[in-house]
Amino acid sequence: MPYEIPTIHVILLGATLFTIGMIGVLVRRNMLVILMGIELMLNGANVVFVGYARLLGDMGGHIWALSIMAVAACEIAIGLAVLVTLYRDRRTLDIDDWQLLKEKQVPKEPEFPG
Amino acid sequence: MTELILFYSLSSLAILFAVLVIIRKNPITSAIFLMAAMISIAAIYAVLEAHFVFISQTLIYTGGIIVVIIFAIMLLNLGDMLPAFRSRGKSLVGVLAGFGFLQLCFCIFFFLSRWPQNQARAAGFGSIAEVGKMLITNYLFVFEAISLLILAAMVGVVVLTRRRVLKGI
Repeated sequence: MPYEIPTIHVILLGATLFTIGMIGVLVRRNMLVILMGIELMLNGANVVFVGYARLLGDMGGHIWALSIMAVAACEIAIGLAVLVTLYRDRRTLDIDDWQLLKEKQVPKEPEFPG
Repeated sequence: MTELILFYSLSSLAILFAVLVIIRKNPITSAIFLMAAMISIAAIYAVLEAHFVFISQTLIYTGGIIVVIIFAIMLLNLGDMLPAFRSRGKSLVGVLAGFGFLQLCFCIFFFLSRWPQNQARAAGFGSIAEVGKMLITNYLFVFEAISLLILAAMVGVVVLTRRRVLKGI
């Protein structure tokens, strides 16, 4: 084939998407935008898998890309569940307010008689 | 030739949308740009002959994951958060780490002297039939493990979002 897409460029596209996602995770304050950065990183890895699958003619890269997508779906579900629980507690999604992992002291619940 | 034009234009679009995701302050705007980036990446998969991965990227990522993120943003009713970026020192460390990593990747790939030739691809490369064959024969363990993972994630989400139950009731 005369005009093949050079695989190096596909890998570098994956690396660039991964880096942009990584910078987003490290720089933003909103926890939801941090989750979006994590999704970008996963997509960067997916592009690398598909690029190598095309180079080597092996379908395994596609299967791994699908597995990464399934893992990303599970991770976003659990991440949003954790986020909603955290939001119920303190009403803020600012990562700088959540820097300390220490909980407020929850008062002991009253025992019901009988 | 059309493959090359499509690939380079779509990848510049994807990178542009990704940068806009992390720059914009409003989380809904970030989510919409992330959806656009996901669709461009799906189109890149189609150009790279990964047809089933293109379909599942569109369905799972844009149709599932980003919709759930938008639900969360709208339910939690966030609006514009006033300080969108972290403090200057922390942001600088993050950006430097990112650029350092990207330089590392570029250096690795530009100084490689030998690169394998494109191997021959089978006739139905990337089609649903091939993916199905692989899932049943070579990658059966991966298939079953993913089903178990999804089940565990569903149970975990239900357990995590329960409200605290009072004792005695």
